[in-house]
Amino acid sequence: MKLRSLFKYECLTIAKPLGIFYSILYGIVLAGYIVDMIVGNNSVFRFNGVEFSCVIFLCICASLGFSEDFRFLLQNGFTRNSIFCGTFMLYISLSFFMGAVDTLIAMLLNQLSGYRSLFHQLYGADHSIFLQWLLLSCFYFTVSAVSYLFRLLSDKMGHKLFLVLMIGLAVFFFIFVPYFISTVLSENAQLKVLDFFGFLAGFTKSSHIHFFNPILICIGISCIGFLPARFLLKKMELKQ
Amino acid sequence: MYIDPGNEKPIFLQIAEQLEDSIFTGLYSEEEKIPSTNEISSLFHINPHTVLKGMNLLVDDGVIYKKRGLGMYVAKGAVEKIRAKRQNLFYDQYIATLIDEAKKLQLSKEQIVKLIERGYDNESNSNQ
Amino acid sequence: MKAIRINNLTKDYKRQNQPLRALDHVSLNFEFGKIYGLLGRNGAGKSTLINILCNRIFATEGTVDIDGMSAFENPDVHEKIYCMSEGNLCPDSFSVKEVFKWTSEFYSCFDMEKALTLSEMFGLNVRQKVKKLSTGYKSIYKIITALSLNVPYLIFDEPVLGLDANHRELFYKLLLSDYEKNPRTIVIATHLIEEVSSLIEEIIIIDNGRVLLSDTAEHLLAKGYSIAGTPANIDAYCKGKDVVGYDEIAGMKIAYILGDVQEDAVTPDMHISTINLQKLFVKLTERGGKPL
Repeated sequence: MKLRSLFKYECLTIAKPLGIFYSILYGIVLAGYIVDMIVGNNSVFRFNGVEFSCVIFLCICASLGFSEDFRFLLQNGFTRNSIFCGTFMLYISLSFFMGAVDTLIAMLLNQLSGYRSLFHQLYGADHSIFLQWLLLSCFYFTVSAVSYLFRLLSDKMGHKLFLVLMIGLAVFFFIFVPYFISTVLSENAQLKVLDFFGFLAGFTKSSHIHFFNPILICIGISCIGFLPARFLLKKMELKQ
Repeated sequence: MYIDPGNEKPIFLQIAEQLEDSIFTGLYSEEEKIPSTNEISSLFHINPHTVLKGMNLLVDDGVIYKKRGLGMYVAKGAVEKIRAKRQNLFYDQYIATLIDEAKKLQLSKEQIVKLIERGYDNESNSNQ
Repeated sequence: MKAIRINNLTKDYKRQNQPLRALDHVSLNFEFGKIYGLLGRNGAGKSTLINILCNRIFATEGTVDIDGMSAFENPDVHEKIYCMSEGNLCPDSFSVKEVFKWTSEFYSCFDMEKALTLSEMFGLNVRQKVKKLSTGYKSIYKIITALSLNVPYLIFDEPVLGLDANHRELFYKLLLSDYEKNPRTIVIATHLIEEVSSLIEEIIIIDNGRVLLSDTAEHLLAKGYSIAGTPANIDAYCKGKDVVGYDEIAGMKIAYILGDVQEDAVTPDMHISTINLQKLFVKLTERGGKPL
């Protein structure tokens, strides 16, 4: 089936950049630990950039890799439907793979030197590794979905208009909303908002964490990303 | 052999004539294989259907024939057939044109006859 | 039944204020097993038509069927058609060998051995990265890919761009010998008229998004002639004739006509000769000619 070839293509073309990325990333982490050991510091080396770096990698993958792949696959007779399916399968695989790598290494580093990953910092280090992996993978998948959608929107709207939209969204979410929450809302309302976000992240009144919530949120946002992305892709023409 | 796409004559006709020439002058003897449509088409960048059309003209004239799976071969008596055909066409192809041109140049019949005699004399002189 | 059938195809582009009509209700067929020349000036609509056939862009109106199946977003026509076009559509970092490898992966009818043999014949280093190739070799690796694919409908859009004379000859030679062994539809879209004039069986001339004419090469060249004479005589002769165009130099006018010579109207001072395809094309498309 040609879809298998397409998926093979997606995986093999991402393998090299992924390999380079991880070598650099964990190379830095490893170097940091080695330096720490040599210097003889007792303080735990803190590196909090793993998840953030992976997010950046996924964003770059989705945006930069897109048009080259799209053109090559169209040239080789694939329908836009197949291209979407292949991309979707790639992001699922990539998210779960990167989720696994990061979770395992985080677990390892946690045992060795008390390293705390993003998950550890949010929820503590004593949850099942399966849950950690699942949640991180869903998070990465969400990032992929949103980046992919943004890439397609940027192509559709034109770069200038898209930039305006992004700046607008950034201003709204990072400036207006916090300002609104902290100054306009009453203290009670502010607490309610914080509670709500806590609820979304899975925190409940008891100490039990409902991981179902953040996972569901991630899946929800991914759908909001991928469904319009599919629609946009179906209408996409090759630019000369 | 040379095909001129810019020439007045359609390409298939040029092919037929040139193949016929090659057979007439003895380049290909009777029962010998002539170049295939593939070879001619490749060499001159001509559509194979065009080449085939030219060859079919010669098949119709009985000058060449097809051996299944092997190609085109010069037919027995091809040279004679070609000669007979060209003798028939001689008047239209050469004489009529000659008279036309002679009229344009205002040469009389006697002058033409003298020129033809001169032509033959020259030939026998150069043969000696 | 085996053919590409293009029906009423129209393509409009939205440009700032004015819409641009790249194709205007084009209808034609590419039958299986023939070599077609799709001739047109730069910007005539050849590439637009080809891109629609290959599902790269969408038609505003009209349909394209390949062997009875729609060409639009249809995975079933995947191995039926392949287009070699001007632009570079493979990732920059790929080497020629990688392009061959992926083409082989995506198409079951790709002959890798043939591709490598052809590369040797053209002197193409398959380990070279595509972006580092010269213009000529960029065309070469693409035509090798196309020739190594055994699809029933093969389309070339300006295949010999940048190729030197030797390579152009080699390409035509390979194309024809491939066609003889394995007859299929080959469409060559080009503005290099004279080079392909003896290769092609059917001619389609496209100008300003419209089909000006569609005929067999033989028929077209047989029914076309040029007649030269004094302007007055020529004008008189041309009344009621299908004149494609004129050329005029001091005291002499040449008319290019499609149809039969009207023997009784030819005066002794007139000179008749055949028309070549390039002349016919230039005259037809000079002033945005009307369809024949």
